Amino acid sequence: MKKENVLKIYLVIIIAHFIWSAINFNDTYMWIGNSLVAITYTLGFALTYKRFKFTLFSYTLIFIHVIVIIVAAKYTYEFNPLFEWIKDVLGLSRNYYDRVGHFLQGFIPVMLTREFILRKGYMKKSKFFIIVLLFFTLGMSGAWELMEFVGAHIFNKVDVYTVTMQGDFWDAQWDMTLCTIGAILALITLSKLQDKYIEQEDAK
Amino acid sequence: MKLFDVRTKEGLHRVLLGVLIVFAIWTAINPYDSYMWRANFMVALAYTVGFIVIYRKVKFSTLSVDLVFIHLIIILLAAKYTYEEFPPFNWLRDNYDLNRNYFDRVGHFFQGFAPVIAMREIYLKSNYMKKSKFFYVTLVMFTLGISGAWELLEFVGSEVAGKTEVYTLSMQGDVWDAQRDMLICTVAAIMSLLMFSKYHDKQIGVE
Repeated sequence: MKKENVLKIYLVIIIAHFIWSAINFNDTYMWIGNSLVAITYTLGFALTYKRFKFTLFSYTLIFIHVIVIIVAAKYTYEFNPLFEWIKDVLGLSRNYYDRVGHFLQGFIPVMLTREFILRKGYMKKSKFFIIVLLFFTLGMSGAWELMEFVGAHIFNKVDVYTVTMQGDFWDAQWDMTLCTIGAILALITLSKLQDKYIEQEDAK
Repeated sequence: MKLFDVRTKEGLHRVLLGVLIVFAIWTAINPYDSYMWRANFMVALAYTVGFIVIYRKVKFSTLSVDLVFIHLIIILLAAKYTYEEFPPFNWLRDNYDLNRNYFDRVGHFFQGFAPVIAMREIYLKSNYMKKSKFFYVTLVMFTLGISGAWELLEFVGSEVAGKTEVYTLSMQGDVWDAQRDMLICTVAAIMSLLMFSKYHDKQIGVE
């Protein structure tokens, strides 16, 4: 199948999910917040498609990430049904879906940044490049925490986010730890595969 | 003494290192809290050693050295007095009816303000990147990353040392403490780049 067609299918699935999330969501504020993130994320890559075409590999990662965020828009990160079930079965103290979100927040952006920097020729591969990628990703995770913080204060929803922290004082730290672990794992497992896709794309 | 001639770049840097060492010894005398002294002293030590190792390759400009020097002095002051009880800021707190000691915010400000210029120099002099808009995005993200890594280090450090309550104390009752720290660090990094980029280019001779 041609790359463009796959991307169209991704887009259709995303829109379908988005409509599904808009019907009967759990919490209005959280739906608006997460929807905005999902829409910005999708539009950002769709509108810049002509200027910079990522590999299908990277678009697949983006697709997965957007779906995860839309599911969070529907159920919120705290009450995802699948993870509620896991919580009950394993006797966990909280719903861990948001940790999955934070893991992906490292796992996926690091690969997108990697491709962007390499194919734009901003940097060459080296040890320092890996360090830059890791700190860059951790920086994005930090930027995310800042957005939550500023957002919560602007919309006067500080109490909601205190709930998001689910009673954990170290919540931001856990989030960033997971993000970093995600980034490291992605770099270890996916770098070679991504290089293959980059080679193919550049050969076109 | 040619080695310590402050009119030469290297001489000036050696003198600053000397001042720093004397200062570090002074903090070891009767620190406010021995755990905090050890923790902050180790940070200052690792920072200094790391900087010197890179210095041998990069030959940092005086601007970078000065900024890092000030940053190190702040960390050493925190080693001596802790961030929560630094006397001048206790005075500020009492005189202006503040609800906490704000010295740690100064620390976080410098965490963005100083390293970003040193990083800029490493990138440019080692030819890792050329100047571009994306270069500045990378620098700010990198700094925010360092700030995040710092929060993680505090977190892991206090869990390992079983000193969670000390750090809960250092948050001074604020659940958003980590976010505020990182926000200040980011703002400082951007300010520093805006203020010093041109001057820095002149010092390092990069077009």
